[in-house]
This record gives sequence, structure tokens and C-alpha cells, in this order.
Amino acid sequence: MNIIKECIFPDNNLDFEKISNVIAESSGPSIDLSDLYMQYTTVESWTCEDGIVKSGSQDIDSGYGIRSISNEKTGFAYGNNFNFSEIIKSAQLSRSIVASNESKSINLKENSNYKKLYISESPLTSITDEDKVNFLRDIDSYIKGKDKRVQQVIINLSSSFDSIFVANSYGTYSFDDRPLVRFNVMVILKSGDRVERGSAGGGGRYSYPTLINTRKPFELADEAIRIADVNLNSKPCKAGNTTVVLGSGWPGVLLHEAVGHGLEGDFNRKKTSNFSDLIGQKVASELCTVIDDGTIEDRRGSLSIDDEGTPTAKNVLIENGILKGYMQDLMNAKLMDVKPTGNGRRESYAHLPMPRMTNTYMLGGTSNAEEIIKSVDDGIYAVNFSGGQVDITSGQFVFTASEAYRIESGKIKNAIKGMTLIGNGPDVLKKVSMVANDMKLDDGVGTCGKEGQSVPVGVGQPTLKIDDITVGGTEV
Amino acid sequence: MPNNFKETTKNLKEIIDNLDKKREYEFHFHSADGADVTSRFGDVENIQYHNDEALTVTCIDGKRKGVASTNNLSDESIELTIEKSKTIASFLETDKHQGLAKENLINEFDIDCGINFPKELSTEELINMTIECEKSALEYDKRINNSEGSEYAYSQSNNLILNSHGAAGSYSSTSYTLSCVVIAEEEGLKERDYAYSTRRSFNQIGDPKTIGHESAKKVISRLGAKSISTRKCPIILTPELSVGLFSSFLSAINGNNIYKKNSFLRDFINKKVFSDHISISEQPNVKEGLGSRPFDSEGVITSDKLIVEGGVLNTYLLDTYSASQLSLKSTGNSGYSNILIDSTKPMMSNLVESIDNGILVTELMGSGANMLTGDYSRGAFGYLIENGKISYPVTNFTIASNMIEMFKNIEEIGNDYYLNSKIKCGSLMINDMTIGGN
Repeated sequence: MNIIKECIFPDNNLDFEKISNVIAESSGPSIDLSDLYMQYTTVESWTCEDGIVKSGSQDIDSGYGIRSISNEKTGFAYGNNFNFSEIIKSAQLSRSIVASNESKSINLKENSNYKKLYISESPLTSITDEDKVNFLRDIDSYIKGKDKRVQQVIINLSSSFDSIFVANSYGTYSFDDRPLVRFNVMVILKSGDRVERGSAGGGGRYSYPTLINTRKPFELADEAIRIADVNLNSKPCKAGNTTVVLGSGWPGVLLHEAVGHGLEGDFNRKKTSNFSDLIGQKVASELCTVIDDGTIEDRRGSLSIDDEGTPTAKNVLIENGILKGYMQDLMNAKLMDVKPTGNGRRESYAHLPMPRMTNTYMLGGTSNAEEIIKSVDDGIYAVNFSGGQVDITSGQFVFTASEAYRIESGKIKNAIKGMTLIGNGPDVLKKVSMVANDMKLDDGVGTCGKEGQSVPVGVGQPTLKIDDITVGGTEV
Repeated sequence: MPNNFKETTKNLKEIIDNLDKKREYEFHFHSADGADVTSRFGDVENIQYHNDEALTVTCIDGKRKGVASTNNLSDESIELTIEKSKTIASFLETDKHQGLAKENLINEFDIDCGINFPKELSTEELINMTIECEKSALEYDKRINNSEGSEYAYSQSNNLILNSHGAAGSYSSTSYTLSCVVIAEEEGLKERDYAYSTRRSFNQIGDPKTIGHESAKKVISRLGAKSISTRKCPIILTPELSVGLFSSFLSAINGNNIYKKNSFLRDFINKKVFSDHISISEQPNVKEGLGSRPFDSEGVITSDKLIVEGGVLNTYLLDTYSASQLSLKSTGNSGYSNILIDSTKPMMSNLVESIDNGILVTELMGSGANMLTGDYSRGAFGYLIENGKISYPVTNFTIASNMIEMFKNIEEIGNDYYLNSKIKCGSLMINDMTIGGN
């Protein structure tokens, strides 16, 4: 159910004629595009800690944002009072970026030409609050029954339901309802003097039963215990240059940081990315084909339409090492004279849209994971990462592994701790020398930050080998 | 205090006073409005107007805590939010440590703590300031050939706390920020750097040209960076990065991480964390302080305290809940205010002169600070120091150690204080770091 359509419109006496007036008021002869974004979001979160389901919260955030774009200029105003006269005032404020008093008449038509990729029901009401509490308690006892070294268990179950409406001066409007569920387990194990943490999580755009009526939450609990156990036996990492094999799935976050951000349209229009002006050129080894795909059903990073109403797409960014295209929103597509790609996203009505990733992954190759490990005489196998960062101008990126092992003579040896990878996006992609046939998407945990805005994303990749990358650690 | 904030305060006070006495309630209300202006290549690029408000209701029902929030302040919506907090509490399990703040509560509205300096400025003035700031950076050196622009941000915010044990307080504050981000290129390699100034009052942010020049100087000095070999050596962290390291320290002594055993400093109370010369204090009432506040986010009155004395950790930072978990009293630290890092050693203005061979680290990247084990491993950018002088920029390396070791190894603190943070600290010299390079 779209709350904007069913509640906000009738409660505030809004109709499409009035919305057309708002759009008209925010546009004019020298304005290329204006849009109105309305949003009603409900978020809940339940946490079990010390074996007690001790905290629960629900947040409701609703409001609208209006922007007017003239060439490279943007005016933006937002508010949370849906009263028509307030919205009109914001429209005028937003248009004031260009000194113009003229407005433009607009006829709005619904854009229904896109595929719905997820259900339109709120996960929050898909099971009772009591069931949520019982579920958390079950997982907690499962973990405590499984390992005596457990010091602390924190389990979180959360979800949100986001109803949006977007209308623009091109004359179209769209509605979308976006469910999102997230589950996370964190375990601290103690053995002798050492304590280590392991965590695992998963989720997607569906309702609670799709996740909690399966074995998945128990598998994720096992995974958190396994990672903590591995780290209890980890040894310090030796610093210097070495060969690194990245595992499949979540390590794709490296691809997201090292390559993905540099391929966002805004940075390339402003030529501040180190991938600027490189379309058609070789930017990676020919084993690399990188895709951003917002159209995978139920995935955390997917959207039926982006936050500007453009249907999402499966966009090839790099094909066999050649740079094919950037990710675009409406503004940057227009300024660069290319088509929008369905990557215009915003954290909320109070933030401006910009080109963002959806689900970003590398296609599988022809090797298999075992032969990749066997081919390494001396190196590191990195299976999980806790986070990373990139400077898109220099291309420099940094990643910290939460699970990694030494490889000696083609065999996986002891776990290592405190390992950091540092490199330069395009350099590293050129050093990809083997790609396995085991492409895997992550479990649905990614959140991407850019210019202070967070959006849910997905990542994925096959097992792959990078020759010669700098690794940080405490041993010389 | 703006009129609508006054009205909201009155309305919420009336509502909380009339709620049932069986349960405990806390209302936290925050509102802010402001503007952001960005200019790029001499022309305005973005103008954004902000206007936010949110009410968070906490209900404690028989040692069960439910929280609900809304940004719709209509009476009907407030009512629904209160109901939701009660419903959530009713489904939770009893936790004997739950409870709202009861002691040392604030009882004064509209407190002036020297951090509220509203100033009317026209959009033109703001645009001109950003244009002037960026221009001074672009004209600094020919190698600066691109820009992400200069941004001015202003915000005025209001904070209100009410609870059913009598906490009732409010204050307002302002903040002004001017920043500049530029890009320089040499031999096909690009570098990006920034400078900014953030203050409570407009008059203190300084000359836009100075900020522009600083960003230009920083980006130009990055050009021609070389790689570096793996080694162990002392490092100097710039004041900005020192602030980051101390914010990890403050997070490690936060009561909520201590009782969860999720901190590498969980067993360090009354023990030595730093070397003798270091003391750390909290000073909530500094005029124009970026962290100044008359009460913490639970309504507990805050006062000066010595957190570290002679290198020894005196106290954890406790809110009501974590204090109960640890059988201690709240230290008024649901959050922290202004923090001052001090040394009894003479504090030099330029620590680079104090080491023969080492690295001045000016940028750290990635999330490699493990709060449970203290393991520290991050990507860095900086400058090689040879014979007490900066030699050349270095890139693509990591610095690693363990934070327990790093804290003990802080040899010197500079007096080149960083003023853009509520943590006031100078440069740090840390011995014995592992540098990972090629």
C-alpha cells in the first residue's frame, strides 16, 4: 500500500492538479528539470543482548523535497508539512536559484512502464511484535547452546517500509513501495587471554517470513561463531607487497569502492574521477566484466524505479577490461548528453539525488577457486572485509579484512589479523590475473555512503587473484 | 529562542505532565533550520534550505524500554508516537537496568551557554563568500585545474529534554562552516585535498581567502608522491588525525562498550593508558565550544571532569543505563562535550623538528581500528621526515600497531590545536609504528 497515495494525498487535500501546480511553480523557461519527491518511511529495530530482548524502536519520517535544475545549478528546499501552501512556498524557494518569475504549465501522466521487483506490503506488520521477540530469543539460545566460549551475543532484526512518490517537469509521475529487512548477529568469543568478534548478516526487499522461516538466520549465526573462532587463532600480518586472492561474494565491496564510485556520472562530468574521459579504453585486465544491476528481484540494492522515477537497468560498466559507460541520474545524463541509467538515488526527501550504485558485481570467469589458491606460492586469501574507503580523484582505496589467511605453497595456512589492503583502483584491476567461475552476490548487508548520504546496496564477485598489492600489518 | 520552539516546549511539557504515572516517559525534541550554498568555478552551483524537527519518545514500563519517534508534531501524531513507545515496551523483556535519569537533572529552559549566535545573511553574501574562497584556491597555482567547489553551511538548532522525574531543559545553538575542495594535476596524476573552518559564530570562521589558500597549499604539496618501503619508525599525526585517534579512545571508554565487553580498554579503569605526561579533561561549558552543552542527552547536568590524569584512566563515560550495568553513577555522558588533550611536557609548535627519521601522516583511510582488540591498521598519505625536515610526499602505505601500544607510545603533543572539532588536540608523535609499503 502506498501511504503517499492512500493517506498523505487525501489527508492534505492534494490531487494531481495541485501537484502539477507545484511542479509548474518550481520550473520555468530557464529551468531544465524540476521535481517533487514525497516520502513516508517507517523503520523498526529490535535488539537482543545479554539474552534479553531489551530494546525496540520505531521511527516515522515523512516529508517532501523540491529541486529546480538550471544547467549545472540546483536549487533545493524540503519540509515535512504536506500542506499545499507550504509545498508551493518550497517550490518558489527552490526556483529562486535562477532569477525567474515565470512558471511553466505541466500536464502529468503516470509512468507505469516498469517491472515491480518486490512486494508492496510493509514488513513491519508481516508478523506480530511477539513473533519478532521470540525469533530473536530462539537465535540467542541457539548460539549459546552451540559454543561455551561465548561472552556476548547481540542480535538485531530490523525493517523499513518506504512509500515514495516522484513527479517531474518532464510530465511524469510514479509511485513505489519499498520493503527492506535486515538481520544481524554479532558474537564475542573468549579463549584464554584472547577475545575476538565475529559477525554475519543478511536481508533483502521482502517481508520477515521470507527470511525468518528459513534456515538462513541459523546459518548466519553459525557463520558469526565461525569467524570469531578463526580470529581467536589468528596471527599478526606481515606488511609489504604480496599476491592476494579475494573470496567470492562480499569481497566485491572492494570492487564497489575501488571501481564503482569512480564510474558515477557526477564525478565524471566534473572530471574529478580518475576514470574521467576513459570510455572505450582499457581500464582493467580483460578478465574483468563489471556490471551494476538494479533489476534483481528482492535484492537489497534493487529498485523498481530509481528516486527520480527512471526504471532501473542492468548496466555494463566494464566489459572484458574496456570501460563502457558511467552510472547516471537525470541531471548528469543531460549535461553529459547520454541516457539516464536508473542510478539517481537519494537517502531521503531531505537529500538531493545523485548517481549511486545498486547491485555491483563482477561476472565469473573460467578458472576454479581451488586452482587459483594452488597457483599462489606465497600470499594472502582474504574472505571477508569489515569496510573500506576510496579517494575517487587519486583512485586510492583502503580495505580492512575481518577474515584472512596466509597462503603458502598453494595451500591455505593460518588466519591473520589486522590486515589492510591499499591500492589504486585501475592499477589493481589491471593486475587481476585469474577469475573463477563461482560468482556470488553478498547476503544483503551493504550500505554505501557518499557525501553524507547512505543508501542500501549489493555487491558480488567470483574468487579472483590480484598479483602484487600492498598489504598493511604489524610485522615487518 | 524561536517562537515555534517555545510553543512546542510548552505543548510537550503539558503532554508529559498529564501522562500516566505508572510508566516513566522521556521526550527528546530537536529542531534545526539552515542553508547550504555551494559555488564551483565562480558560479553558484547549489542552494539548499533545511528545516527539520523530530520528537523521540522513550517509555519505560516495568523495566522495559520502548522508543518511538516522529517528525510530525501534530497532537494526533504525538499521541500515536507515545502509544507506539508503550506498545513496543509491552512486548520486550524485563531488564533490571532500564530506567530514566533521576539525579542531577536540569531544570531550566532556554539556557544561554554561549553557543547561540544567529546572524541574518543574504543568499548573495553567502554566494560571494564561497566564490571568493574558491577563487583564492584556483588562483594559487596553475597546477590546480579542477575543483569540487566551496561550500558554506549554516544551521541553527534547538534541543529540548523532558522526563517524568522532572528533567526539563532546553538550549539553542548555531554552527557555521566554510570549506573548499580543489584538485591539482601533475604528469597525469590527480590529487584532491580540502580545508575548512567550523565555528559557533559567523565572525569566527575567518577570512574565506585563508581557507581557500590552505586547501590549495595542501593539494599542491601532495603532488609527486612516492611509494615507501616497509619499516618501523615514529610517526607524527596532524592535529586533525589526532582528534580521530582520541575519538576512538573516547568510544573505548564509553560505558556501553565497557559493559558489553566490546572494548580493548575494558580492564583499564585506574590503570595507566597513556604515558605520565598526558591528561584528558571534559569541559562542557566553554564559550563558543563546538561541544558545549548544559546537560547531556538524558537531561543530566554536565560539569568539568578529569578523565585521564598522569596517564591513568580515572573514569569511564557513563549514561544512566551503562552506569547501572556497571553498578556506578551516571557521569552525565550520554554523549560527550568538549574534550581537551593536555601534556605536562613543553608543547612544541612543530613536532617534525623533533624526529630524525619518520613520517608525518596527514590522511588516514579505511576502518581498520578494531575496538574489541585495539588492533590498528589503516591506509595513509603523508610526508617523509629526514633530519627533522619534510623531505617529500609519500603514498600507498599503511600504518599499523595496536591502540594500547599507540596510546603508551605518544611521546609528544604539539600546541598546534585543531579548532574544527569538539576534541581539542595538537599534533601527536607516536613511536614504533609499522609502515607497510612496497
